[in-house]
Amino acid sequence: MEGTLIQPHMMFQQPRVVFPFAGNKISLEAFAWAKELAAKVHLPFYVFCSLLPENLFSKIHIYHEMLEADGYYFTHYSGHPSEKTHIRIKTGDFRSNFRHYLNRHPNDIIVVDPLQDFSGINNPSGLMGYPNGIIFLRQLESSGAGEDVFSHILDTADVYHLPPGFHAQAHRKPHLASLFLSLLGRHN
Amino acid sequence: MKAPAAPSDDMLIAELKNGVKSAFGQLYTRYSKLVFHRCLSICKDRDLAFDLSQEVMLKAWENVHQFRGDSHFSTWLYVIATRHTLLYLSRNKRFEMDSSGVPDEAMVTSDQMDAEETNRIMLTLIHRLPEQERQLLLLKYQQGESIETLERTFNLSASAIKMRLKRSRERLNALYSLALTYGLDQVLNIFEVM
Repeated sequence: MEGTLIQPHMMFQQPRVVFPFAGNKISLEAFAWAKELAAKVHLPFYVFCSLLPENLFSKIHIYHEMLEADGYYFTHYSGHPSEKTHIRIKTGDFRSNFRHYLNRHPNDIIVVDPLQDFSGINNPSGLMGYPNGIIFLRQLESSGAGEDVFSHILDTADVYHLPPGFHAQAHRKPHLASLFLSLLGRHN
Repeated sequence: MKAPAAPSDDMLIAELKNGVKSAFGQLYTRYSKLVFHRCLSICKDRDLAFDLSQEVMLKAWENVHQFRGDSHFSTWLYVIATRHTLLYLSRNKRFEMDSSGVPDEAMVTSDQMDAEETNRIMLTLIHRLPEQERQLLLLKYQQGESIETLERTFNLSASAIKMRLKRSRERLNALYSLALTYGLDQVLNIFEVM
């Protein structure tokens, strides 16, 4: 069992929407969708990345990728420019660092781009042992965004550890925030 | 078939002033890396530079109506980035200690690695500069020689020394930004063909 035993202090951590990024080419659509989700539910948006020590020189490219992805987001979605991207770049093996992160942040919602190579954890079985809300994106639109596209991507995603009726409620935009707030209180 | 030409800065800025937010996204894609490297060249911390560059772009969004087109948009952004980063540094002393008074080990390690990498790139670039310019920079910044000593060494006035140092620093910073953006090897290749 790779999951976590939730400690009392973890119940009160501020949740975030987290987009894991393995350091290779980023999917602009997946990034933008995850950031839009964070904006809609008023949660901070984090990118989690881990690089091996020998690849640290390419750290600069991670920032470049993020800036380009932010540009894509602001071009195609209606999020305000004050919506920040926070980035956490760890040193070491991605798989073990990400598992450690999940153990430490059980309230975070993870948005997974299936096209990225996460060494075996970009599939449901690799993450099911964790209590985090997980959204595996399946069909990404490359032709922009908008409410319809956002909803379509959500419809076709595989979601885990989210409340019953998630899809139905998610389409009712005004209730999305409260849905997430109730979801995030699930450990209390 | 030719690909459609990318809209000019002027077109995007006009759209932005008219409330077309996608224009901001295109300008963001076009210039956020430049802003990032300007912030980085001042604060020397990538995480911070990334954070600051987002704030600079937000400022540009909020103040675009003040942009009159007297300069290039990139120059305007460059000035905002410089001011914003300097203002941040003057208000914060995050590199000294964390809130508990104990140095943050991970941050120090990361900063040390960044500093070592910066030094390596800078020294490589300095050694490709013309002889006199290289000597001047190394004597001043590696050996810590005074302006008076440099006056005597190069038989130049103090103001001439200061002016040359200023120009060299600017040139080096520009080369450094290029090296970070396109890779050190690419920049060294440019030296080869010059």
